[in-house]
Amino acid sequence: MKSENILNVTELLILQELMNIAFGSASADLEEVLDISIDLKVPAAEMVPVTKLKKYIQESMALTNKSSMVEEKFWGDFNGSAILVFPVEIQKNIISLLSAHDYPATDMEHIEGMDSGVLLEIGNILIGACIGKISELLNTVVTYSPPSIGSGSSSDLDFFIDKFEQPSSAIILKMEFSFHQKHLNGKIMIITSYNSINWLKKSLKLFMESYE
Amino acid sequence: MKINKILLIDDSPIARIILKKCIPMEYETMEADSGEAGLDALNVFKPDLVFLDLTMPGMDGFETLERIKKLDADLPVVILSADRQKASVSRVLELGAWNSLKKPPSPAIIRQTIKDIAGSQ
Repeated sequence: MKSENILNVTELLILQELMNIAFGSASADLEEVLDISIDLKVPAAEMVPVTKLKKYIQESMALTNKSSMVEEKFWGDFNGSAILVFPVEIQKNIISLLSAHDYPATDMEHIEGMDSGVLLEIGNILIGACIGKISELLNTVVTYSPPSIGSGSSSDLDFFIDKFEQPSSAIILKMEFSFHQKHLNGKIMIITSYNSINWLKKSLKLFMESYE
Repeated sequence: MKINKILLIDDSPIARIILKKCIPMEYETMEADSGEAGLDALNVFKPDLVFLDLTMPGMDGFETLERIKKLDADLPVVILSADRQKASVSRVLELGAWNSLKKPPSPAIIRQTIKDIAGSQ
């Protein structure tokens, strides 16, 4: 791979900070809409060859057949896919994330069975706000697919990874978080297509130059 | 109060570069890349103002703020963080932060904040 076709350490650090800002903004949106608070952790940015992407996602997202995964694609200058992964325990506790204020005990029976809907909504808010904020900071706009839900199974992951062109590399932005006082964790990963790289390099430079 | 020295505590080198570019040249700055390093820098650098991030590995910004306030309750600490959740903003204000600003910083807001703090005591 030519050096001009990969992101250098500084560019990855800028992306890491943008991810930090974007997920911080997304968590505020989630608090506003669903009254769910999140404890944020430090993000990471790296490049991973598409041939190693499946193993990388399985390991870094601790995916199992029982994980829940919300996926959303995005298109524009900045394009790729984002996934939000929750561990198996989330399925038993997802309703507990919603505040009693919004869903009083008497209504709880009506929302049982809506676990997937709640996960989709959380995924939609976090992924949409996160991608939206990165796009805004890099002065572009993106369009989104509706979110879809899957498991961490090998076949679901194959379907997801097929979209990324081999033998290129994918640009990965990831962050862990936990739901405040709920002992539940989640992980978000934004996987950017290799064909965004030239635009990304230019935009990251412009972002830093805006502070000159 | 007179502000000459400003301590920037953030684990992200990019965040520190951006913040430094927002601070007028007339101020002397020192950078710390963790809460622990920030606390060490307090004794050596003796800042008049601290800008502090919240999400950091090791000692996070909440704990760093708490410790700074125990060491020097009068030292103004401005939180500069991506975490804009109301719960986080309320918590830092309760812990004694002077203000809580969102990332990325705007040069105008940083300059105005420094001016406000200088004129406040």
